[in-house]
Amino acid sequence: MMALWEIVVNLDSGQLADVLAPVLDRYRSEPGKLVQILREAQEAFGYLPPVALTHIASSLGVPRARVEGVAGFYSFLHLEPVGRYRVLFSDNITDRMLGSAELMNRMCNKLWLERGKISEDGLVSVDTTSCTGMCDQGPALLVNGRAATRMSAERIDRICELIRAQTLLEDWPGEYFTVADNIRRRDVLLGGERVAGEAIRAALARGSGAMLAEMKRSNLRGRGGAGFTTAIKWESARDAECLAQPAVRYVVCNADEGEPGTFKDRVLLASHADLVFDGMTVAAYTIGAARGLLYLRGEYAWLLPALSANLERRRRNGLLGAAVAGRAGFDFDIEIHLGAGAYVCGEETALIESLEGKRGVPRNRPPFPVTAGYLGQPTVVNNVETLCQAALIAQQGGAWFAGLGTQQSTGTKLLSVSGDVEHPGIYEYPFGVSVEQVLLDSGAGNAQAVQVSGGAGERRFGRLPRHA
Amino acid sequence: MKQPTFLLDGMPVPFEEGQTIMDAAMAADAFIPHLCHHPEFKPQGSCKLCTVKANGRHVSSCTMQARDGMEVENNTPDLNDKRRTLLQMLFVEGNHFCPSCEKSGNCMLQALAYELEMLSPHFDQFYPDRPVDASHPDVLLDFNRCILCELCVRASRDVDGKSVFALSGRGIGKHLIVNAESGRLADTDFSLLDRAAHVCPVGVILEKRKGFAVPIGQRLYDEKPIGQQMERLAARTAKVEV
Ligand SMILES: Cc1cc2nc3c(=O)[nH]c(=O)nc-3n(C[C@H](O)[C@H](O)[C@H](O)COP(=O)(O)O)c2cc1C
Ligand code: SF4
Ligand code: FES
Repeated sequence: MMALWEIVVNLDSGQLADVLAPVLDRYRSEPGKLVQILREAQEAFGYLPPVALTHIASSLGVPRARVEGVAGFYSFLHLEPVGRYRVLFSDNITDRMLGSAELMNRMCNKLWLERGKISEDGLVSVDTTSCTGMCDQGPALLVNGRAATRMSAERIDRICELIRAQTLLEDWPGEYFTVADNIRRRDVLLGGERVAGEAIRAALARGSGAMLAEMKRSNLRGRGGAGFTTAIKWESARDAECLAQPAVRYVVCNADEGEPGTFKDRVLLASHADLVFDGMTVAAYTIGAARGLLYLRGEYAWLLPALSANLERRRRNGLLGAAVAGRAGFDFDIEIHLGAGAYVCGEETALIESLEGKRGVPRNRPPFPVTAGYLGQPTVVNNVETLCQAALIAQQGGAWFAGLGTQQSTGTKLLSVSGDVEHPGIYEYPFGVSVEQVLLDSGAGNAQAVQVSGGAGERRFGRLPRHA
Repeated sequence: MKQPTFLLDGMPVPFEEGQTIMDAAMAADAFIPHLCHHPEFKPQGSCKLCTVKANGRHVSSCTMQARDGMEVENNTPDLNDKRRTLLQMLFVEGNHFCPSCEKSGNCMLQALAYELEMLSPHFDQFYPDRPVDASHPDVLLDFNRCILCELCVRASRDVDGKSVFALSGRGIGKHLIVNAESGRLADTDFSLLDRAAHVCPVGVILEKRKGFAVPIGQRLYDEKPIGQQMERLAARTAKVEV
């Protein structure tokens, strides 16, 4: 197996152009697609050699420094050669509690490697990466972008053999790549059987103004961390003037799920993708958006084929494209953008920069995305779970939703529970559930500390409070 | 109609609608410490040295629009303490050896360290290893002093239309690059006549053979502390430059 990058130094510019042409064509050499172009160029070469950056820059008509600046920003884009097998151990506290550090040392020793250094034959490199969202089935790792779970000494030894024998990933034992949903408690969101498009039809039947009114009644607050009232966000984007021509509004689904310890969006994308896309479409109808973008974190790239297939199916079934669900004048389509390893891109303005093919650096605000977001146009950015809840509201109404949970925090919430518990996984509860109850249900006896809502959240020690 | 006004440490500062706190303060001759801000360029808001407390909230004064009746705290022990910490972090992250630097006396980082009475670096030095680029016939780049303010980036892109400079990397690995496959300034279209050649607030972009034309002791901030040079700072443009 001879990777392209080994011969890249010998590629003349004609050959280089041939390799990059399909990638550049697929994205019509649009500078806004730079992150996607770099990702795919890297797939061809194994890394991003300087000549490739120069070629991409001139094809896109942008300064080379901009291309190098973007390529250097993202952890999963490499300006230096990396191993043909790139192993990245998820480095989250829960992975560590399950022994990830020892397993990584074991692998490095077996392969005669220093962490972070490429082996002399260019075969393999081993390093850590931020939480890969597998805290309920760690220790986890990524190998060439594919998620592997439940690592053990035995599995690590076997993987070392597979790598040494240069076995293609397709021929590795399939169970290494099994990702379980581990849904432990279902409520209204995870419980129901739903048909794709149902929520869209319900919203269309209500009309966009009435749909917004239902959102207000629901008092749904964002599930992405800041807890901002969703209806206010939607209304602002709906009312905002489009500052650029042609006038287009955007709906962005934030599937960057970077917060260490959270993995609920991964489960929604894996098993309830139709609900996510329904929610995006309901949002689009309500605010008058013509395009949707789903920003999928690079760590979840393995979800892409199924999600893309789903979008294709929805197009065939009339749930995307011109006249969505038969409603003349409501044209809407969704595109998936892959991130490339940058926690900060979960922040909505950094995410928008990344969508625009730039370094994921947060913008100065104001203006906020609802008035000037993606390409300077009114943009709603919502978390995966928020959009799922919006789809439920379209179907069952705001009053129904407001009747769940507490007055302050309506509806249900997916909790990603992991660590020293018997049953790690996803728990859906109405808001107001006590920490005590969650500990009881997940089998966390004698807990000394609880970290609430991820690394950026709060810690609770000792006598645990009764209410979350 | 009465002109809108905010209070800066109790002093009324008038402003025009849309003006930032920084712009209005500069126009009123009031000094707010800053590094990445420059009146000629779009505010960047990255160094955070200009952080003030507006109506009780910490905000960057160079990006925050002034509002009528706003109460802004600027020159307070607490804010200056935080600014000093930011300066200390900037000092240890790079290699800033003032006595041997030809920008000494003309350097905003050094001037602000004096102004805010930074007496020691406090943190452990990082001693990064960043080779200098002496390839260009007229200009030397000493990346060791770069504070990533992106003034050269903005100047080259927005004024010179060249994009000679850009940032790459992320977090502690963030660094300045030039627009050439070789990574050498000589292989870009950079010229000493560029606006970008004259905006660096520290000692990265240096004109060759001019280093000590003005002796140390007679330089900008030798004459007067930076806090008393508001008029000059506010007037910085392509014609009147540091
Ligand atoms: C550093 C940082 C990281 C963030 N990461 C995420 C993330 O991974 N997923 C997410 O949905 N929101 C994240 N957010 C919040 C988003 O900025 C934004 O508030 C959210 O996507 C809005 O969606 P919501 O209103 O549906 O909650 C992050 C915010 C910050 C400051
Ligand atoms: S070289 Fe100077 S102007 Fe450019 S980013 Fe660095 S410190 Fe700022
Ligand atoms: S001067 Fe305002 S952030 Fe740098």
